[in-house]
Amino acid sequence: MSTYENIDSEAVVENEYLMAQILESGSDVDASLGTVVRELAVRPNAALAAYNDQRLEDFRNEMTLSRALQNPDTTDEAADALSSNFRLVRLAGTPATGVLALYTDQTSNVYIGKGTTFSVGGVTLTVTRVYIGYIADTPAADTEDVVYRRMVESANDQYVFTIPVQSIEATSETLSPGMSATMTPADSKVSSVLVASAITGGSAEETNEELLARAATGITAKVPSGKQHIAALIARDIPDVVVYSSGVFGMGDAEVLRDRHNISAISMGGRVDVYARTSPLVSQLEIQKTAVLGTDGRWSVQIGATDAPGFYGIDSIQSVLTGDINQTGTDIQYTFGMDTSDPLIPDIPLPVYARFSSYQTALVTFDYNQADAVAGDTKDFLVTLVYMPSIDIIQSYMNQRDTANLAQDTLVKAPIACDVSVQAVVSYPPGVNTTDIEVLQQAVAQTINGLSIGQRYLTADEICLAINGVDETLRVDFPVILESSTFLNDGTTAERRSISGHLDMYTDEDTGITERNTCFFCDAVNVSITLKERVTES
Amino acid sequence: MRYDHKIDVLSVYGYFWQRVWQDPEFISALAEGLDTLQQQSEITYQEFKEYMSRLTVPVFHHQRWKRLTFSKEDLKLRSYDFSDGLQIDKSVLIGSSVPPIQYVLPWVSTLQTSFITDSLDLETDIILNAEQDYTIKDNTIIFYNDPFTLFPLTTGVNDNGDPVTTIECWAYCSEDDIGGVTDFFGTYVGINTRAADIFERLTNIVWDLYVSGATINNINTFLLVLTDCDEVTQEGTVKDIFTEAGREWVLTENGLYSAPEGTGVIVSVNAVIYKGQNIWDTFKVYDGYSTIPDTVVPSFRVEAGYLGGGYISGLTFANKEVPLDFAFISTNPDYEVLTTDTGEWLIHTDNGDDIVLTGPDSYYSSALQEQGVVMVPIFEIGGFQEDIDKLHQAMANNIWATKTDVYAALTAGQAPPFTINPFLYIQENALKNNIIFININADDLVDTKAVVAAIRYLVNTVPAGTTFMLSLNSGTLEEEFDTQTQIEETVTWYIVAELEDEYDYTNIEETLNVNKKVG
Repeated sequence: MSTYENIDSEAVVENEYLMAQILESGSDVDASLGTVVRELAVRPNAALAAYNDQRLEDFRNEMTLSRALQNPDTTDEAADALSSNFRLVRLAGTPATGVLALYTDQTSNVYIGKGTTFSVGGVTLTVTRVYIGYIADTPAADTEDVVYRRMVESANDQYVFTIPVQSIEATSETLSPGMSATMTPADSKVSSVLVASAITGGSAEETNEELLARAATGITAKVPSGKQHIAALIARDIPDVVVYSSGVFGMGDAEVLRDRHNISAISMGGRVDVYARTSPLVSQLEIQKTAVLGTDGRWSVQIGATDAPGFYGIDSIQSVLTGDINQTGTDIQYTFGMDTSDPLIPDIPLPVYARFSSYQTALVTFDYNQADAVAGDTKDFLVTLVYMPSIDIIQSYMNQRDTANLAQDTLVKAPIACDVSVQAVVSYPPGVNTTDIEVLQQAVAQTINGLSIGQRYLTADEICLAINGVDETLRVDFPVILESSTFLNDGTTAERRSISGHLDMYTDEDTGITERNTCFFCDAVNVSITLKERVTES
Repeated sequence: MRYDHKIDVLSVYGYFWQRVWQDPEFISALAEGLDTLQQQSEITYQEFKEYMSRLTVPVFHHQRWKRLTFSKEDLKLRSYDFSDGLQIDKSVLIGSSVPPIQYVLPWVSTLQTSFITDSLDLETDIILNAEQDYTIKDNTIIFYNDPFTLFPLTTGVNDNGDPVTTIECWAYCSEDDIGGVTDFFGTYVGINTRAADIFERLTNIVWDLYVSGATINNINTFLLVLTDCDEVTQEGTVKDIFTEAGREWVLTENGLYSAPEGTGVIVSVNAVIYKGQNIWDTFKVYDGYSTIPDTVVPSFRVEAGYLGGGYISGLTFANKEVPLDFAFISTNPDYEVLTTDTGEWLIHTDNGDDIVLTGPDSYYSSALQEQGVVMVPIFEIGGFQEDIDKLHQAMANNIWATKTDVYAALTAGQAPPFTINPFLYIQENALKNNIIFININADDLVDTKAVVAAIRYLVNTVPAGTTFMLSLNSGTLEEEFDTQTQIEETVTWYIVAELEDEYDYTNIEETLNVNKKVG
């Protein structure tokens, strides 16, 4: 803020010269530098005028959202007041959610009280219900406050069960599987706690910079009309859903496969597909399913539309009783279908068009060796699904009668997921190794997860920037190996690998997969960093 | 007026200074000086009030008097020849005229002024006029005479403390770009550019597109702004049409509208024009029900995004009548389609029977159709033959239902030729009212690249279930567009081309979403 002491001296001088010249041209008085008139009459008035002008300028800046939000002196109150004119309300932030795995060597029940906290990577997590790990076959029924979780056998005579957690504070941090957690209060029965599926999906309180970037969204009409409008509609207005980025596609866009399913085989319009990224990292959800053994010797489970709406695929299938794990990619096969029970369902002529949407269902078959099983036998499995949260909530919102357009339907989908892994060699200055690899892994993953839908490619530049953001003295040696695995419509994945430092997205317009509806994801555990000491400083 | 905020400072000085003090000239001059400062504050204050609305936000900050100082050590001389415009420091060819010398000094790039004087008295002899005596270009001011011989010399001090020769002069009614439009309204919709009236208009219409969508009027206004053409604001009768000062003008009894020189006026004197009417020929907006003449779109190409899966590339449809024929094909391996020596169709069935067809007569039964024998239309489409066959086959299911006259004629045994307008057929049966087609006469545009870049605002605000097509017509345009940065990916380009051109693998250049013939 301007004060009389810090007014612009150039403005004072300019005013001074202006006034002096008027004085000299209008009278015989000498108003040159050093005269009484100059010092007593001209300069003070020139300074006062400059001060007044500067205060006006201050006022102008304080009233300008773009300038006020960039000015550190602006109070949050003032920033919020200005933002309200753009229909912007600062986001309070949301907690991150995920799953912890608790290990025990006990065979008796393990009790996790409501409000128990777990500290991981500087983030404090908690549970909102009581969880009871059990081995016995028949636990009591779950209640609203108490949930039973079956413990399955793990390595080293340990048993493990999982519980859902959420961060106490709003945070945009993503905690990767495998990270160790500290439980409070400690329980002697619990030998260790690890992150089972990424703790993610939260957001920190919105900064002024983020608020400013959202101004266009604020003023844009929240209607399912133009691409800009639809993006604004889903961006922040749906309760409990944060859309980090989105892609909206309509008539003539290769991504809208269902638009060309007609007798002329030409895009007909009236159909819009929205791909929404609702989490920095894909989430995992473990659900218990009863599988049936078929006559072909394969087990099958039905994944319903509401189990993990729009799920990408299955990470693992685990026997509830024995804990045997069937890893994906070996023999799991999908037959995708769709649930048409919603009376407001958009036009989806074929199940393949429902892929990654909340209408998607799947019949999943897999091998599981059980010698005494015969066709028709059933068995309980824990199925871990990889999915993008809240797709169903957005779809439901778009279907509402007071949201939807009469002559245009909108199908909401999870963005095509391109899972990235990184291998890099990082060197540190001679004799100085203060580098925490885990921090670097998180930084790289966070950078990749921060990329919005629509990136054409990933380069080693992003990796270097992420690492130098942690420590400027570090250097990344080339080549940086970038690998990606993209979930496809048929349940398989497409793999890519690059050692050139430039990894292109997998695209296939015929199946509606382009760089415009795909986004990169990276789990920190898939960032492999090898540290080495440099010979020279640079 | 910006500069009429006159405040009579002397009137508030009171009786003593007005009547008793013996040097009224001094008091009057002092009052005038204070008044001048106060006037500037008042101008600024009034401007800031106008920032409250995007409809009134001032493009420039106005300053009645601005002191200018130039140092001789910053002065640079340069010359230009007459052959091809400004050529800095180019040597003069023997025999050419002696080029005028230009006197170049540094300038604040955001500042513009129409007059530069040596004093605050507008009666002075030294008043330099913009474009006549000097030109402001980015961060330089170019004088056509040596300013150090025009204005009184003074001695100043440079950054090193050394004495330098300077001149002092005054800019009258200067305009400074202090980012008003951008800071208050433009930046939120992605418009960050140097101030100009056109960008204030652009900012406003983009806000309208965001707030209220791509209405017919908003699209019209947006295109008028982009092409720097005035919008008709009141109904009136055209009184005169004329060209003046680099603009075309249309005068009505209650309005005066202009467009860049060369723009065609599509109304005539005595015509009644109404609010929002487009009176210029720079652009035209069509929808799917419009008759789009072949002079505007001789043919257009749809990219793979418009077609079902499996197409190698896009297809081009002529906007003219072409012969329509038919053929039988079989999608069933048990039913073979052959032709007889006399040109008839011979269907060899699975049980060994042969059926001869000349057209959709009684033998072309529903049973035969159920077995996968399809009567496909054959007409000219540009593209790869595999794609053409694929589309012909895809269209077989409905074309005869819409071309009932042709089908009836064929059934009655009449032989081709029949005709079809491929573009019109696609327009009527597929695109319908789901397209917005804009044709811009690129030769009328001052900055074609800027216009193309700004089109993204329309692409992102027209209903997503429709499609947006842009065509730039030009006889002279030679511009390269970078599809990575200048065009939003979502813009679908329809390359206007003559269908007679032959395309094959060797002369098609495929880029991201643009296919063009290169050889």
